[in-house]
Amino acid sequence: MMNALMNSNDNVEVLLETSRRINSRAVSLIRCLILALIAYSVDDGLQYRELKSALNVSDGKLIANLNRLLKMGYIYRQQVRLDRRQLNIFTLTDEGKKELETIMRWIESFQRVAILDA
Amino acid sequence: MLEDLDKVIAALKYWGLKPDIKNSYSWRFFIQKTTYLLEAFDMPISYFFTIHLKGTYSRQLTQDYYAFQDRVCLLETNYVPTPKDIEIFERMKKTVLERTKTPDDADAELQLLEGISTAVYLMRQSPETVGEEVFATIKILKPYLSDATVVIGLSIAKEVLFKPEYLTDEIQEEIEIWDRVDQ
Repeated sequence: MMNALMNSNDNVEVLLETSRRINSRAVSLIRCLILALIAYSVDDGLQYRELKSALNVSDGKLIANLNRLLKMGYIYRQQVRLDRRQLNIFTLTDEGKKELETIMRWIESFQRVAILDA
Repeated sequence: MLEDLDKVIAALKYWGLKPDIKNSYSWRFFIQKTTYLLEAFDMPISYFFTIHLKGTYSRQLTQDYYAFQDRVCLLETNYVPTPKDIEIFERMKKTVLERTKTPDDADAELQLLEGISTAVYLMRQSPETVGEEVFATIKILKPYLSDATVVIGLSIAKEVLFKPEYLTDEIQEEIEIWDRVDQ
């Protein structure tokens, strides 16, 4: 009984601690999704059009969020020239990888607390 | 997985290509699609491919070509293609590579490859699905592919999945009859 209570308290502490480390501007549904989807592509990166069709959002919304992540230094844009066309490829920076790991740890600690309280 | 990567390198070498995967996004894209198609032609390759997002795409293959970049660029392989592999490389060359070559438009070439590999993936997943449904699914998954690209991709995909053993004497005879009609 006492151990379970201690564990529960520890988990709450971990949740609060990991929450403090998170950049709240990166934690919106679309920004988390962009980071996760780009991470899925390893170092190959994702084309703008691939992101757009996966997320099914307007250009305005996608561009605004990509610009924000670019400004925060979590992703970088590479312009690839393919004969007549220019493609924008987005890849995670080391900072972006770190932030995504922090978000993932936060989600795990959140889950641990929620499961114990259920 | 090095054995699988070696098979891919053997194919690239056979086709006389020089894949600069270190500096070229399009080469990495090309390798993803052609490796899936080689597997669809029955080449024993065990990479796992997915369809969403960058499909057809294998994270294992990506990790392998990043880990062995020099090996790929220099076309170093320990794999010796069997006569059946050579047959597959030839079929792949005639059915896909020669028909996707688009002078001065590398993007169109890559998009057609993407259209073919996506169509092949969907048709293998659900062989009973009709062409119109596959077309509609590709347009949902990849709205940036033009209608023409999807239609041509579908048509080539059917050839990729066609097994020579389907060509029975009876069918061959009928084809010859139709061929003679124009003569």
